[in-house]
Amino acid sequence: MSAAEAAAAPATAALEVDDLHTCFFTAAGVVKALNGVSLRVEPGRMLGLVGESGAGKTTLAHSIMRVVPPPGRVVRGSTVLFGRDLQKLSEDELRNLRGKEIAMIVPNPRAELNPLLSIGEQLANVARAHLRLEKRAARERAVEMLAQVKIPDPKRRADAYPHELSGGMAQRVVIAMALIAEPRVTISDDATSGLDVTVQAQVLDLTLSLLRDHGSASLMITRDLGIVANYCDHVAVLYRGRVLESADVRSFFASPRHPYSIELLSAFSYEPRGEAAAPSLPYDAEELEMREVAPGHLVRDVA
Amino acid sequence: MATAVVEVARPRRAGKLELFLLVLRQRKLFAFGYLLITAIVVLALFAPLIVPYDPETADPAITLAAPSGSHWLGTDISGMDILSRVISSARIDLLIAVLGTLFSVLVGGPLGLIAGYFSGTRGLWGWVSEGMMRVADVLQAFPVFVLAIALVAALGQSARNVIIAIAFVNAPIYLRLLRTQALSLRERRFVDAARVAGNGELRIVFRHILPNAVAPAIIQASVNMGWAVLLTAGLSFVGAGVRVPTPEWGSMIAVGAQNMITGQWWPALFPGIAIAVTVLGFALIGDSLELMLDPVRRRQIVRERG
Amino acid sequence: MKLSAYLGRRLVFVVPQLVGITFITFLLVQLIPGDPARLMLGPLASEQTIHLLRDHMGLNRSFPEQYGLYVWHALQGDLGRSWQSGNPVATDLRQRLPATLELITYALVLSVLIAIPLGVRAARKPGKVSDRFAFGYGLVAGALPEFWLGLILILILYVKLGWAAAPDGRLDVGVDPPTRITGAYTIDALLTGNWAALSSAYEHLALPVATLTITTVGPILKMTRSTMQQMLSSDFTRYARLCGLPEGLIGRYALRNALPPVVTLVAVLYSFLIGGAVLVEVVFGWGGAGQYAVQGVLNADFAVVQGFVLVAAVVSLIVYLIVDLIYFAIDPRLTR
Repeated sequence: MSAAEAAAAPATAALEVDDLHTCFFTAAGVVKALNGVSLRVEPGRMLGLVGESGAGKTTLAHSIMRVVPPPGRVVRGSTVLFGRDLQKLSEDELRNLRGKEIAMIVPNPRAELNPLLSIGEQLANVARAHLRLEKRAARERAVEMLAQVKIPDPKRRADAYPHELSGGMAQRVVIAMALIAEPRVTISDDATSGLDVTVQAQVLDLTLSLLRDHGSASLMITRDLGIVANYCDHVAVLYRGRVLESADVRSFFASPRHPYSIELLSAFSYEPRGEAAAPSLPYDAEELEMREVAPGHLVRDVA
Repeated sequence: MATAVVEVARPRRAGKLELFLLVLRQRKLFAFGYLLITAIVVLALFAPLIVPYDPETADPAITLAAPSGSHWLGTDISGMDILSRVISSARIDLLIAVLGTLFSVLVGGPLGLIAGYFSGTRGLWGWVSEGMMRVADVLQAFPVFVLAIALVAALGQSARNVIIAIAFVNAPIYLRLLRTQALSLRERRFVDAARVAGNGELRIVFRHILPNAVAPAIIQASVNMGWAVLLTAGLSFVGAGVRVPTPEWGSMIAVGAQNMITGQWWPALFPGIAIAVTVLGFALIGDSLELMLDPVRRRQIVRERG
Repeated sequence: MKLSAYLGRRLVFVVPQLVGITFITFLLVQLIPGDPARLMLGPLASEQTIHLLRDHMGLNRSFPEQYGLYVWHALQGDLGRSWQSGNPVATDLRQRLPATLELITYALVLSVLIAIPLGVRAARKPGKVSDRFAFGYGLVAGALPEFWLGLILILILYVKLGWAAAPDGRLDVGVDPPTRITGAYTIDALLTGNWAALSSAYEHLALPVATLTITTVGPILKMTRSTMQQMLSSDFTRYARLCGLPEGLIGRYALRNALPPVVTLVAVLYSFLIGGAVLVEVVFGWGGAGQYAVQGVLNADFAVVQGFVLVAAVVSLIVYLIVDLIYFAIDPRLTR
């Protein structure tokens, strides 16, 4: 992070990612999935992270939460949550923060929920782990959360199993799981990408209003620039494991600076609400620095 | 999961022999398996030249002699040399295992391919396919070991009939295995291509599907070889296999069993070790083949070379 | 789907299977050489008595008639008569089957209690000592002939150390069997408070159970390890971690998801051992159903073979039904 940005920012960020490197040590060679990513999410604000698939978005989310599956590993950098570096905590300390201080809304929830447990049980487990509730109280809290995510007849639905839910319903359950312990930071990873367009809009509106109500800061990972334009305060563009441009939303959409961003935006303007068609230009920004071109608007140099 | 592939060292494709040698070099245990089986095969082939005594001649003067300089592994209750018998047994035990397994593959494999390829289709072949699976279901509910004993008893005690029994009880394994293979392979494009080119159904099964389905059968067969050795020994042990005095590990254990109670351990101990070593060798070979034929793990092996 | 409907469909499927089993057994017995009537009456019997007995046994009838008669009698619990023991096969089996079931039930319960914790440990620490042990154990235990292993245990624990009971049956000589309730000595002794019989029965069970356990732990351990590994690297486990659930709970859930294939394997092993334990029965003079069947086969006692195969198949089917019930308890996707 540059000195100028540090000076302009408030003392404590909700989530600050600095120079994060994550590599996958596969049989076929070392894959650098994240190549020095730096981000900052202010308390109560929403940062939109855009990038085509393969840019390293999900790896970034997993790296922040420290759940990168082997053979992947965070090799360098820090992910600081309200002053505490998650990368340096012990497993036990981290477990107490996951789901309580920082939660994640995952995509494809029907694969992520345990198929053998009712959703009420799964929600109650999280409530018991983080809110120190008793069985009955945890169950009540679970039903309450299901009501909050607008699941009809939540008392009965709490006994449903994941395979009985529609995609949209499952997505709501995962949102409830994320918010049940009122986390201060929420990461949403392409959470609505698998849903029908109409359901997508409903779920998205619900998520965003809930995040606002709960006062949770959030990192919204998406391929949809429309979501960023409509809901986020800040935006960062991720490309091949590095951030190419970061700015507040108004400045970014008014005057994108990096050629890749410009192309993303022009592709997007043909197809509003659609997914950013991926311009795959060979931007190899290996040694280039981020430069501040306007207050809070950083762009990586182009060779 | 979205991951950028930035730097991938592309491994060069390794030849079959090269891969084999790599596996042996990197997984010493597998190399040990091949070593064991090679040693046993060599002993079996040259048994008549190697053995110190005739394996079927009893010397009544030295019954139940403990291991010593003249009889390294001792003698059994009728005075036959145990070392000579253990070595000679490898001949018949390996022969039964190899032929029994081979025939079970030859019977079960083609039936499985047909059952899989025609599964769910109309007409005669569809019915044949369905019928074969029902028969396999019934056979699976049978107590396998008793079935094998009953077969040998019904057909008569001889090595040939033990081979038949082994082939019969193992054939359903290959029926199922190759059926599954054929079921997934028949959806592939090259099969459509062959059909468009005007090949007959049976020709497609054996010329186009078979070559692509053999790998799992080979792995299964090498593991099965070990089971066949165990089954042969078990049959002989209860008296439904190869008869004394023909040297065979299971019947040697049966003969030595009574002596065990009175503390003469050598007649039963050594043939048991021979069985265990043989089965272990086949299991290791099976594991190594599985490794070599699995594309993902194969790449790993090739990568580790560096 | 309702449990009853599912079981009903399952039973409908069982009937043709039973028909197939009886038919194949019937065919097989026709192959066994020797005239059963002649064998039953001995070498001194006259042609006429033999002919009368053949008539009585239905041996002079046509093939389909014989099969029909066999099934008809079996349905009424009449499995024919053993010429070796002179008893009805059903009576003999009632005596001997509990001995086999007692043996293999203890062995499998013990195997599960040993293999599952070891497999879970191996899966949680890949590449560590427990993982390598699981791999090596599976290889070696799978290579040992169990009848030979039994002999080695007898040599060490009975002959050399004198710790174990003599390998000559289910009870010490001079100890009377407990009053018969189930036929399993340990259960009957416990129910009737016959402590002498109880301790003697356990002493005699120790070695054969150990022999079977040592060999059956191998495959269960291998299966638990691999399915547990799969479950621990699955999406739902990672998600549970993401939610900050305690590791103990995550492990328990992973195990619950890993159980179905393990349960199936145990059932397969159980039904295999009903006949497969015969080698161990022979070594320890157990006198169970397997040994009875083998004697039947070797002595052309065809009613015994048919009876055993049928009963073994029925027990297997019951075991598979129990497995289905366990599946229903574990997996909500089947019930609703």
